[in-house]
Amino acid sequence: MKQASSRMIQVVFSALQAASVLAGAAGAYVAGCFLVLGGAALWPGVSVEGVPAMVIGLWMAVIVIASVCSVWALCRFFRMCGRLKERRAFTEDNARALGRIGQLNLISAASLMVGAVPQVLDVASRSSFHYGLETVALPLLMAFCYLGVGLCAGVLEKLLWQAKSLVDENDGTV
Amino acid sequence: MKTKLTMLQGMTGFLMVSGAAVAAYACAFGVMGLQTSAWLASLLGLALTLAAAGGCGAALISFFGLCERIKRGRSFERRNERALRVIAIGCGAAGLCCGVGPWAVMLPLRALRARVTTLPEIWHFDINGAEEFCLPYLWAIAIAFVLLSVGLIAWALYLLMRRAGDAKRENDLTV
Repeated sequence: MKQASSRMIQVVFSALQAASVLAGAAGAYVAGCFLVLGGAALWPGVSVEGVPAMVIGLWMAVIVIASVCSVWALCRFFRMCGRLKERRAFTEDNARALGRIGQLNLISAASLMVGAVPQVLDVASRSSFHYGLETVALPLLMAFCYLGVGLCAGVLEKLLWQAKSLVDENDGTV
Repeated sequence: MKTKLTMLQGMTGFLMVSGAAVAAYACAFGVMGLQTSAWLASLLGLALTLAAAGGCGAALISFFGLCERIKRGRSFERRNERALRVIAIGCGAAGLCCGVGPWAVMLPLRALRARVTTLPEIWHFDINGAEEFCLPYLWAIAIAFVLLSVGLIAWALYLLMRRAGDAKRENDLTV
């Protein structure tokens, strides 16, 4: 029974490591595409009709910040999964990793919200550049997801500290 | 911690309402399609949508209850372990419906309906209708990936919570 549970833990965390590598690769590809498109739009002599260069620059900065934070968080997550596979679950390292993952996700959410401000203002005022509703909804949806993950990681960090003290107490009693 | 949990509960409520609205919208399309010649594809689509919505709904309700219990300081309980298992199974089932359903069931049915039978023809048919045809399938794969990942994380948390719960119960017995 215990061996089956151990095997299950190995399988689950290996799958999570594979998923984090896949998410990192796909995210880097999408972010790279957006950065190339943004860079091309900012090239001298090239202009995108109705979209100010400042908004494109802001979005490129948002994509860089969110990408760096996401990759960093995925690296921490990958290493944490490795420790969990080795049955080192309730440790200080894992609690700190969860705290860092939470912070990085909250930074990504905040940067996406800042990036969405020009679109929200545009939709609210119906002024010169018309992006369409999906360009407002998509960054806000992504910010919502990052916020959710960040909050979950924060709560899990606190629970992990509690569990760690319980396990330490238990080991001390034994 | 209580503020974070309350925010998570608020987000869960928002997701429940918006998810129910999206599912109802998709189901309305499915019901309309039942009266056309593509009734079989519509019926399967309707069943997949309902199954995915059911899985997500069960997971969200369990998550809401889990947050409430953690807020009250009852973190390592058997009920929380069960809730995490429900979240894992619900998200896994919804992910499978979103990922496998459209590619394994809907795409062949639509291709057959358009009298496209060989694999190269299906690929060509897919690319030709990129805007209207290919994009929803890519969205379905992305959503399935997210749901399956959430399911896996919930399952991992279930395994860890069970270990922490066992330690707590052993501790309580010793005391």
